[in-house]
Amino acid sequence: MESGWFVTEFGRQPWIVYGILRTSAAATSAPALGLTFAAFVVIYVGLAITSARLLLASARHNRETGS
Amino acid sequence: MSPAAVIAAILWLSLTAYAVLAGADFGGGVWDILARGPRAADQRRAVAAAMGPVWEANHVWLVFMIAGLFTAFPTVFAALATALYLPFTIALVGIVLRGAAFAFRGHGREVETVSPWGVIFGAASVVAPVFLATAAAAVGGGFIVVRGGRLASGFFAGWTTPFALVLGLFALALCSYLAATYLMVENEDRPELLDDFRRRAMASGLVSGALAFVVLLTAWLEAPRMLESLTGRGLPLFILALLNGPLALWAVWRARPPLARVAVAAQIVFVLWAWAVGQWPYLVPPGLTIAAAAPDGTLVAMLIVIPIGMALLLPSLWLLFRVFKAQRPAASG
Repeated sequence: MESGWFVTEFGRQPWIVYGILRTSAAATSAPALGLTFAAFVVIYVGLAITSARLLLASARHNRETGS
Repeated sequence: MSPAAVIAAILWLSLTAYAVLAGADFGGGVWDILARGPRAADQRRAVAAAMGPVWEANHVWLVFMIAGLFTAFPTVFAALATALYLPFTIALVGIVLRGAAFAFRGHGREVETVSPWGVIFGAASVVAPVFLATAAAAVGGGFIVVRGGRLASGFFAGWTTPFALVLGLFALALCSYLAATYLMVENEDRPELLDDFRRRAMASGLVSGALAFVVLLTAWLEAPRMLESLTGRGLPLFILALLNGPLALWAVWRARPPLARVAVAAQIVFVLWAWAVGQWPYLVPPGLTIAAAAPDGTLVAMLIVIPIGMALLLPSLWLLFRVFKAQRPAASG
């Protein structure tokens, strides 16, 4: 699901509205964009790892209990 | 009413729905960290059982409001998203981590004990409403200034003041109060838990009431525009809030869960609408009114699309709440 999302978002660049508005023109003038980008990358990588681990643990648990 | 006015009212309704539904989910997180006594595990289970089926769906109102604001009032959206980038981002991180922590903790089957995900869940439940309310303080106090389409006030304007902090704490107390009364209704058939949540509702209700006066005092000192909104055009609703507050506390005190739930939810509705009506037609005072709307073509299209979307959304939500919230003997109270 996330990969599909990446394809549509990357494929559209450099347009945010295809053929009408460039991403660079639409970006906010707010500060600390790099920092928030880094923070969200860390959060989402952490969440991805955790959900993978929980799913694996859950699968192992079900195999062992035979259900 | 002009199309812009109708859409502004619909968006405010959406925010109201978010406050009385998701607000209680945030408050549930507070009662999760504050679970104490011999029934602490039962309290945590009650919070998880009440939130589990609905917390994700409740965010539909936030998403609808953001998308609607973006479409109908793009300049207002741009001003808010820029000026309040920091508090909104912090609240968003809180919302993301909170949902993830809730889901992970459910999978790990560790609802009853204190776990790292439980701590994140509780902390994020505090962070999100507090920062959303500091953003509201910046808007209602008239601290966001736009000149010539550019943001003229700073990125810290309005939401880093003592007034904003007090409003944030007030919002947190109200969320906790709301959650405690909802949990009273959901545990009507379990007298001990009912009493636990009744005492919690009483405490958070008294704290909310006390903080309301501190909010008014700091507004008078620092954010007179907010006070003018409440005592100007918003006065009838503000008076209703002042009358309803003691009624809600009485309903909690006398252990009347259904009445308490309605009264506390009404309290939040009165406060939000007193503010909205008070600053009408301004959306972001002192510069942006509902005249800062998108062209009529966009607004009319929205007014056609919104009822169609609601025709799908509202029955779905009704079904969700009916399936998960009607099975308890709440109606017998």
